[in-house]
Amino acid sequence: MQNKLKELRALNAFAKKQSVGMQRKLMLYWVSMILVVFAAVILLLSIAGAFSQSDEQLHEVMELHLQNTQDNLASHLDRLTAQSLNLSKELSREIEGTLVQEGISLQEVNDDPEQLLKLQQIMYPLVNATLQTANCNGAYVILDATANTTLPVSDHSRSGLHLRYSNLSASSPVTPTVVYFRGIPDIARQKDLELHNRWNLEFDTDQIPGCQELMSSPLDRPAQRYFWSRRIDLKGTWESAMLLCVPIVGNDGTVYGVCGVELSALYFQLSYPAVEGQFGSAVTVLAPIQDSRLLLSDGLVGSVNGTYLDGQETLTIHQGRYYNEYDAGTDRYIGLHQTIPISKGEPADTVWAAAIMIPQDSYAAYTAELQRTWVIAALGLLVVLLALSFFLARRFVRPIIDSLKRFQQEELPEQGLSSGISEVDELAEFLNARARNQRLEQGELPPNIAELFDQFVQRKNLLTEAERNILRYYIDGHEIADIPDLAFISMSTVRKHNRSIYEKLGVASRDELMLYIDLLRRCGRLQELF
Amino acid sequence: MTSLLSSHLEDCSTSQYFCFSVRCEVCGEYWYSSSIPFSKAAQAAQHQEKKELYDAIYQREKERAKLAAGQEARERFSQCPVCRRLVCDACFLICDEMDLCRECAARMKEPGEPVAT
Repeated sequence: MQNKLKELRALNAFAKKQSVGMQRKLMLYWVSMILVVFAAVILLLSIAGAFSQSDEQLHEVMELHLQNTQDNLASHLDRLTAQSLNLSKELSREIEGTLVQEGISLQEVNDDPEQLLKLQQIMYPLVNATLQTANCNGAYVILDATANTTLPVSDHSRSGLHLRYSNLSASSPVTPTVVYFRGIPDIARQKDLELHNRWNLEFDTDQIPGCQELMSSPLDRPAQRYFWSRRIDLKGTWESAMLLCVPIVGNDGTVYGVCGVELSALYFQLSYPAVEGQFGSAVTVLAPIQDSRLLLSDGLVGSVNGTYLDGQETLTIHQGRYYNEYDAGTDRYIGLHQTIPISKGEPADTVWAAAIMIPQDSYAAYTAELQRTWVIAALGLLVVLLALSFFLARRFVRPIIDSLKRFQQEELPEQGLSSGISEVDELAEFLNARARNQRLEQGELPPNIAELFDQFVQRKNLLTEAERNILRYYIDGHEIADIPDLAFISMSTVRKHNRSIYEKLGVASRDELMLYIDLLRRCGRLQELF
Repeated sequence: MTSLLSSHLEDCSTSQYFCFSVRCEVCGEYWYSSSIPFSKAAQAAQHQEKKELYDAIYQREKERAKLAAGQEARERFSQCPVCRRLVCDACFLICDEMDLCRECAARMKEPGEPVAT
């Protein structure tokens, strides 16, 4: 670890020694700053929950959806229960009335087809009325009696009526056809009803778990104990259904049989379509929970469009913070569930739940899409920031680089030609001054000054020898007043010479003349004047 | 030049004024310096008993006046580099090669322009 640290330090030191372009370096600073700001923004967004927003949103949507679903389901099932209890009361009254009228008990109805027919005839209108008025696809009544007690199946074969709709479909839900599924066929003929292609005379109570127990135990009233059976396969058909089993209780507490309504899997599917949402198709489920498992095979599943559910799975429930996961083994679903009391007097270990669930794949696709959007947006922002940093770095560096190029080409920016950066201008001015000094020291002059000097030196040839003699005194540093004593000429002669010298050399005064002489001396060109 | 001129200054002073002259050795014309009055001229006349004192003052002022006259003559006289004569500006020519007195210039046939006309 320490070796790696040393290597990193060495690499850093090496990188520092490398000469890096100003723009690249500035760009690196910009990029570093942008990355830090970007990371901070991502961190803040993460802390603010921007990335878990979809989970919270899903939770809210599902909770609302579950609440609505549970309300609908509870209302639906409560209404069916109430209608079934009412059916039970009316059937109880009719059966009791008939038995009293005939002076027989229900036990005596066994092996008596005529009495059974009579009872079914009086029960039919009530069952049919319940079917017509209730939001279900079938209504039935099972009497605790059979037409032939000698048969081997007589212990679980019971006479009764079962009317159900046959042509249920989403396309024609208004005019379903009532078919005769169980019961004495005479009634079907009388009522001009079509027999179901899997018609049977009697019910097989073994197919309805708990039915036999319900009929065998005396009760005070029907509401004391009733239940929804787990989903059962309707014998001989491809259909399955849940049956609401309400006991028909006589005044003396005798249970004459069981009645209720049927909710087939198909009817439930049509009644509870899948709800398409942004997270995927939400499926409504009514199923029992056992050992943290949702038993779809024992319950009803709404329309499964958009999912891979076939209604037979056993889903293992994994509780989550925002939603639960339902593991079907191969497929996983996410959703929420809530217990719903639909039976009374049932064993405590059977808990029914209303649930809504969506395929995890679709939610994962949604979140992936969302994440992709985030990533694209973040990358887009990053690219824009980098482009901006590149642009700003280039804009900042360009005048400096241009100035440096001019320095390299020795085209120092003239005064007044600003680069826009004061430090660069100051540097240019400094370099200009230094270059001027260097040129002067090296005898180099700015082009225009050199031209003036050349002209000055050229004009020197116009001077006479006498004037040159005077000029030499000036070059030697003498003043005008010194010259008469030195040259033994009058001051007037000196002045006359001066006028001539000034005129010929093109200077206006002695100061200007001395300036030329001084500059030429500094440039090392003074000899040219001799 | 100053010492040369000093040697050529001729004293034309009186008891009242100081004045010196320089003669051009080419044209023979005299040039007179500006007269400078003796500051104690009146007192010297009145106080004969202080004659020696005033003589000393006179001499001192005269020296000063001579220096001033030399400076003044310096404006007007040049020395010909060939003949070494002291000449006035009117007789001194500005020539191309070398400034000469009129006579030397004529002898050497050097054209020139007089400093003063």
